[in-house]
Amino acid sequence: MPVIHEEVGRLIAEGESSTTHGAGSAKNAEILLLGLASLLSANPRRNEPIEDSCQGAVQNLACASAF
Amino acid sequence: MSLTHQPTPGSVEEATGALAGSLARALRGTSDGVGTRSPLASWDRRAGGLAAIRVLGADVLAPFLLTGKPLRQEEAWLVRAAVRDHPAPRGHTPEAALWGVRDTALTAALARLGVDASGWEGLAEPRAPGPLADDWVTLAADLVRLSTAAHPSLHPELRERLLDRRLDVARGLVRAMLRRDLLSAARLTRWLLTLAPDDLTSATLVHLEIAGHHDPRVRFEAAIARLLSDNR
Repeated sequence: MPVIHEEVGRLIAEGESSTTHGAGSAKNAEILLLGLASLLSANPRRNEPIEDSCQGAVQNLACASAF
Repeated sequence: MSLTHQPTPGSVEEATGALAGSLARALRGTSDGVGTRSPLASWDRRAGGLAAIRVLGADVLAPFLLTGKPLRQEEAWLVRAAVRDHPAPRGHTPEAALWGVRDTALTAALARLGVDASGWEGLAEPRAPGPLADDWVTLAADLVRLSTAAHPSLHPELRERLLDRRLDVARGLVRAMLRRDLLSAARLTRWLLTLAPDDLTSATLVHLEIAGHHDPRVRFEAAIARLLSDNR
């Protein structure tokens, strides 16, 4: 019971720190940014501008995920 | 890509989400297809059920307060058991103050439904809310925690003091939307509706109903806000 009571207190005191993880949520956005960073670091060729890597498919996928 | 937060099975958080979903359906009149069964029925027999009732506080009475459905004796008993099993903290801590405002709203909601809660074991001592934060960010964060009192008649003193802080509440709502913190946004929408509805609350409510549909707690808060808006 003390554990349950502690969880009740925690949930009641929960404020702005969102537990919403759905599409577009603040926390999800952090994960998306990480994913975006890893995608962008997935080596565009040296002689190729980043925005053109894979004919823009990487950027399209990243934008589709983010929005 | 969509990640849905999954609470730990058997946790109070999971039970709270499930209860919020049940109450949201009741508010929309779709509980059990015909809306005859109580949204609180059997919650004392479910793991974490009474704890979930305590977490949602006065909001568990929203289907009765906002739709005019009578509160049955066994439903009042469930609320009483939840309060008894999870008593409010004592003393003069910020936590005790938070529970005090919440329990003031709960007592007022019960009174409106014909239940006298005076003498209930576990209720916080009635107390006036402390001074409101001067800055709008802190004020909004405080109001998010106090959302069970966001009803025109459950905490008149707090509502009265917020009447000249409407712009600050609106700022908090916009910030929550920008942060995509939908639960906080829904709660602040309730506060704005309690003070005075406008175009911001109408647009936000539609957004919350669509974007927050996956989260039962957002769905529940949005359903309360919708009825507050419709009942004005």
